Amino acid sequence: MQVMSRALRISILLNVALLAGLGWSASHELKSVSVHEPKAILAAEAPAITGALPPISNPAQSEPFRWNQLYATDYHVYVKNLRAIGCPEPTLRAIVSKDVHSVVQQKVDELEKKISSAAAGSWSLQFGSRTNVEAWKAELQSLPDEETVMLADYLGDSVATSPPDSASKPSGAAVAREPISIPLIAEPVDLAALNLDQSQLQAISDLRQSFMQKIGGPNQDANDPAYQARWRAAQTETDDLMQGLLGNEAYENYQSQALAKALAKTADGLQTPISSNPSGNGESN
Amino acid sequence: MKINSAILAAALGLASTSLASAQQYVYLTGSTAARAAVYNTFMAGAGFDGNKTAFIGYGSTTPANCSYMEFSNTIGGVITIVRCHWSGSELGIADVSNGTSESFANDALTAFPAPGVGSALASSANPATTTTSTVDFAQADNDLPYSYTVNSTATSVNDNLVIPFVFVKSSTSLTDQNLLTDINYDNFKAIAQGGSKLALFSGVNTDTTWVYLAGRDHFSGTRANCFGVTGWGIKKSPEQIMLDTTGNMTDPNGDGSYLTTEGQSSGGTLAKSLLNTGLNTDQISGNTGFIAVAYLGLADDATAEGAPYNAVRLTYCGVPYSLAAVQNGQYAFWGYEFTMKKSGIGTVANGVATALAANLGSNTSGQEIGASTMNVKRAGPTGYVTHK
Repeated sequence: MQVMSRALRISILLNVALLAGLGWSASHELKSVSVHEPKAILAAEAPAITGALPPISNPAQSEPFRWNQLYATDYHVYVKNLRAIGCPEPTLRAIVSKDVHSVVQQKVDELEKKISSAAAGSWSLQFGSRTNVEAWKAELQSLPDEETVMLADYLGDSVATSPPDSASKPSGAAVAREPISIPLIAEPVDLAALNLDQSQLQAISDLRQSFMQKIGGPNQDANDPAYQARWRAAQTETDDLMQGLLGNEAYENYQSQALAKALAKTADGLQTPISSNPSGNGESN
Repeated sequence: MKINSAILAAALGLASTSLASAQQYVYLTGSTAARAAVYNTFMAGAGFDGNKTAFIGYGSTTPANCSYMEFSNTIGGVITIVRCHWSGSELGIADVSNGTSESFANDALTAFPAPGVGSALASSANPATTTTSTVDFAQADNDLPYSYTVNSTATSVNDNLVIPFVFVKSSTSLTDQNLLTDINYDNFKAIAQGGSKLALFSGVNTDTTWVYLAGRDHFSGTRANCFGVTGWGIKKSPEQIMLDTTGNMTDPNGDGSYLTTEGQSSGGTLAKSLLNTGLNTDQISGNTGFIAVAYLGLADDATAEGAPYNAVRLTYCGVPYSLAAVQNGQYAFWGYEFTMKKSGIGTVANGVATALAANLGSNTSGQEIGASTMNVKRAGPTGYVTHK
């Protein structure tokens, strides 16, 4: 677990990089995606609804979120903090998987570099370091298992009794998972600013209720494929219905406001840790 | 003879009692847009033992246009009367969802010829007697997700029937009125939000005549399709005008605005309000003369375009309505028809509803299009038209 001591610092740096990428991606898509593709703009990794959708009678926003609220010197606490703020489980798993895989990959790179250097040296050096090379190779082979154990440890999963095959590596699975989008109707916006009439407001309320019913209600296992399938079907139908029921103008205004909020949140997440944690050491304020 | 007469009279009485106790009723309401196809389908015998259906209708001298319809035939040898009152799509959905009642014509069994004799009687008068009943199933121009009735317990069946709609304008001799020929996504929104100067349509900046939307109330499936197809928004409230039977503006809210978020309760009423408005006072702008634009199904459009109304049909997005233009996707102002069965519908009514839904597409009247003849499709009134 020596790898662990560096994991947290690397994790923070990687998360900052990840958020930067998300920010670039969001702003890039803002320019290129048509108004009829909100799912692409607002795509998020497999969200899980753990409570009621935003009520239309209370569109006011909560206190601004700061990323440094999440940081902790212990990665377990960091994961716990992510769960505490309601980070969707699939999203959390994607973050942790990426963090762990990145740390393990760094170790892989180090070991491969050592092995490569030894192989490139003179015959005598190669012979002299033979024992080390074998140890490095053994360590290299054990890293996938270590990655699995680390991941299970952080996520609180039971540890697999046998090594998973390469196809089921956590990072690979996370990357391969088809993104799940949040329906536009679930995005909290300032409805008062949209100048909707009573009938349109009622339609929004009805659509939110209908979406919850279609996915089977709150507090479900976000990793359940059946739940994910229900979510995808309901999300597509709800977005289409929303445009038809509210009209193009209201739909586009809603979409614009939701996107602006999403970008603002991303920008907030990008800026805050850099300014409050310039060392990137993961300390919380 | 007296004894024989008495015996015969008693026997007749017994027969009548037996007949009366054997008859059964099915109640249907909903969209007016498909009523002609419904008429054709029941007269062809769908759901009944044979095609000798006896019909009595009220509200029009044309049987297929009646607002009250009664079809008498047999099912399994039992006299069955299907009573219809066309109240509009949304009201029909509400009825089958909430168990609410509608008023139906209530002719006695003796008003119909004996079973096995086909006939059709139609009167422009209202029914002499009516009865109130809950509804077994309803016709609707819009599917449940687009309905004002949320979480309906009804079962929706696609009828494989396409209902085309058209825009028409009231006939006037106002300057440059002839330059108003087309409704599209954008100018529709302009008139739906309370009206627009004719200049928007004519391109002549000095045209200060106003063009208003004269439409239906929110129980209308035609309205749902219109607001969905144009992108206005099915649930977005419009600012429409309502005309009386002389083509004059009414003030539905009594607030002097002469605008309303609601509208006429039937396509027929709307069609018959589209008189010449060229000399009528525009109560909103104060001008003399205005133009009313309305959205109608083809049956009501025929009424509106006929004398004495003489309304003028408009193109939609530059394309005139034609059967081929709908079938091939150039003309996009159309929607699908649905049969909505109430939860717990009875066996007989369910059989009639199922037979109707299965046969509507092949019993069109010229005011509808069988879905099987369509080369294009759409997901709903808000969906894009795509080629099959």
